[in-house]
Amino acid sequence: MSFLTIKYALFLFIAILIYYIFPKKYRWITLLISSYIFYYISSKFLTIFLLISTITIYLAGLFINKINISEKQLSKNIKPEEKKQYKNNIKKQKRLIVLLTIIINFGILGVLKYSGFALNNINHLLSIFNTPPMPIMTFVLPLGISYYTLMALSYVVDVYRGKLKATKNFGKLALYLSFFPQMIEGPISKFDQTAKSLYEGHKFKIDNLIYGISLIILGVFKKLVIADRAGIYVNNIFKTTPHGLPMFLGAILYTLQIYAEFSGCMDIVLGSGKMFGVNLPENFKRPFFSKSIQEFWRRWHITLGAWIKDYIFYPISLSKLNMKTGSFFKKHLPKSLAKFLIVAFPLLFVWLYNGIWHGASFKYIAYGLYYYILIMIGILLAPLLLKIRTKLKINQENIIYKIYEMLRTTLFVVIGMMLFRSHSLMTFIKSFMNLFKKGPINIMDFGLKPFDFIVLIIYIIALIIIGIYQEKGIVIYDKIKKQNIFIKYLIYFVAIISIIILGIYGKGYDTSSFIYGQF
Amino acid sequence: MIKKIISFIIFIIVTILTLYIISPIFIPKWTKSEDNYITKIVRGYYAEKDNSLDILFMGNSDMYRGMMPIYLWNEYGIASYSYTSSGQRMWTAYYVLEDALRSQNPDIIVFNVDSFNFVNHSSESCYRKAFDNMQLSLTKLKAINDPIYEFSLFDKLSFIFPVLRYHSRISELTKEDFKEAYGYHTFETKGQDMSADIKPFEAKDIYMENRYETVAFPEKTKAYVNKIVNLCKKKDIKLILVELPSGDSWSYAKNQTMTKYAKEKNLPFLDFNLLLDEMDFDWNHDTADGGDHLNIYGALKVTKYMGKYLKENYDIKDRRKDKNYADWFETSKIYNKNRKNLINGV
Repeated sequence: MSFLTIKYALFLFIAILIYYIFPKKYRWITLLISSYIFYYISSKFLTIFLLISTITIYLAGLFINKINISEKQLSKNIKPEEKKQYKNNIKKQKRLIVLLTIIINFGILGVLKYSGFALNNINHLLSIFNTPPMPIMTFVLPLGISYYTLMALSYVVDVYRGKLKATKNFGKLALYLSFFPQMIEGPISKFDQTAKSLYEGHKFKIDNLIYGISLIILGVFKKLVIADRAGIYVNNIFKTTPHGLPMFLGAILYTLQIYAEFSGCMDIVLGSGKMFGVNLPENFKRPFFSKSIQEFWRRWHITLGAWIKDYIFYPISLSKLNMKTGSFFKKHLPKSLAKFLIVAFPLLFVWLYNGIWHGASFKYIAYGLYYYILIMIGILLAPLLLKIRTKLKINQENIIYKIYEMLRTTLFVVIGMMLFRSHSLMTFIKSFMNLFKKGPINIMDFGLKPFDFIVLIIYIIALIIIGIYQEKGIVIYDKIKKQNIFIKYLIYFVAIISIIILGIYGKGYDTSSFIYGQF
Repeated sequence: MIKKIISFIIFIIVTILTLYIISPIFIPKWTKSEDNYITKIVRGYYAEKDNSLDILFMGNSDMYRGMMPIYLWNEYGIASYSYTSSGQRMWTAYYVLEDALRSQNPDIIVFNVDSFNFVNHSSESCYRKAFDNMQLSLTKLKAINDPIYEFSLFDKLSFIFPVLRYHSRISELTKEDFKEAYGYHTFETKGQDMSADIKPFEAKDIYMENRYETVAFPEKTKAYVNKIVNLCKKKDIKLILVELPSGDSWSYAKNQTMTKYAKEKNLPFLDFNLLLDEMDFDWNHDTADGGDHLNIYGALKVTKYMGKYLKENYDIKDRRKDKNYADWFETSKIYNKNRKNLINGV
């Protein structure tokens, strides 16, 4: 069920109505039922996979809990010399449980999402040796599997790490994993980020409702007016990959499209949650104000970055192998090089995973590696750049320097997005080369009229101005809230009318689905 | 709290009203020959004074191309209008009739039965042309909600708020879109779409000759024709079924089916395809597009016959001395001038 349908609006309305009709104690149950109905409508029998994930992490949590309790009780009766051995055994048991849960959950994701890609490549290899190919099966992906699998694993690992106490209530855990607004494109929330908010029976507050509706309106605006408008140009550009400016503009507009679309979808998700009083974590924080690639990834798809950091970067960084090689490097290599090599190994996995999470193709692996290389070059060049800055007496706090950094970061992101949007790695290379070739400056030939460009430019200007205020810590919604009722309604009025008149929807335009929905 | 609720309700009403009010700006202005003047035909009909028309001509494109209401005015002082739509199906014809009778109470309705056996859907544009400019009324709501159309909820909403359908025109709006959006202006042809093109109909000698073929009257369309008959009966309106010359869509078999139906319902049925000689009709000269539609020359012949038939068989008022119809002389003057210009290719 797409967010941009009357069906979803109706579903949300009924779910909210039922939620508040029930006594507070039972409100979370209504959410759980609504979420499963939503999931079933969207995925039918594939709901079984969501259930399997829930059951595995529920049982894993309970087992780990049980081991922890018996550990406490038994450790009192164990002799001190056996304690270490005993603790190691316990750790092993717990690790085994976590490992099994990871294998089952990533196994499902792997088979459904990546087996086609893997088998395709294996067949490619086999063909070299004239061996008959293996049959390839393509699967329909259960809704949000890339998102909820990560959420499921974060729960188990956090229980294992002792950060969380496993929940005994299956229904509550099922709700954490299936809350319907999160099922299409995340956010990938951790258990301690949303669980409490989901189970608590929230009091009906008109403010929550208005805030939720405001976010949804904003999200719909971003999707229909901006993203889909930019998408018209982008689709035509990436079909023909022209030379020079039109191609570069295509890459810029695709960056704008994916931002407006993904962040717009998040606005709808957060707004839907807010209407139940549920607070979900933010996924975007003005990414184009980033002064470095690292900062960009702390502001763009925040919950994915945070997940990778917690469950890939840290475990690999703190692994025995990495620690050992790290201390070896520190002893035998110059400081800056050692620092570089210590992070190089875990970061390689971080970016490989980031790439492959986005999709099963070499293009996405290259996408992850692109950022990896950029960051590694950044780390490598940092001392040299510092020297240059000091010599030239460049003040890093200078606003012009900051703008330069932001533009530089954005340029790298735009190129990354070009790769992300290209049909394959080869077409990316072709379109990238085309950027530097001379061609006609015929930007009006790709489906957009001057009027459409004006709409997009106004949006970009608004994005910058609002961004500057937000960077200063000003909350725009609070500002609007303080206005008198007439101004407030005028803002909503303009927003709604703009969506209806400027939105790319209906016959003639075909509302495309959210880009991130396929992941 | 009550203040908040009231202000919210006002906000909703203002937003909905705004959408309703701006919608006509976005509807394409079908005011030219290539669009068969559909906007002018519909909006011109609403411009007619209430209960001022004595005869209504209804049906599909054959009717707006083949009937000249102004000729009837000039010759007999008959106040008539051709309220039609292109690609019209029987399920549209019925609602257009119902809509027509909201403001007029004619003595006679002349209904062209050309599409009586068309069971397939008409194009989206034909439906939109029939309903976009139709005034919001219970009839319109009934029409767009008729399951026969298979309109989605969004489609239905877009017939009430056409901006939902045509918002993409925002970048191509012209002065005309604003000028023609509001108010109702008399259409000087009283619903006729004039064409001076001539393209002979090649199968003129055979199209009515196949005496072995039979054509059924599908239940799907018959239900709506029955509704038309019943509505006229209920309103005490004399209904005349006609089929204007149409080489492209008519046949002897269709004539037989319709003759039988007219007999059953005790209605007069005039098939002009069998009256060609009496009218001195010439398929080489009187059709604009090879037999599908008539041009102004063919229309004149058909209207002459129609006028004579009406005068001989019905008691129709001559309105030329009625002060309330004084503006018809002015309209007739404009029409005659335009017609002359069209013939002379100006």
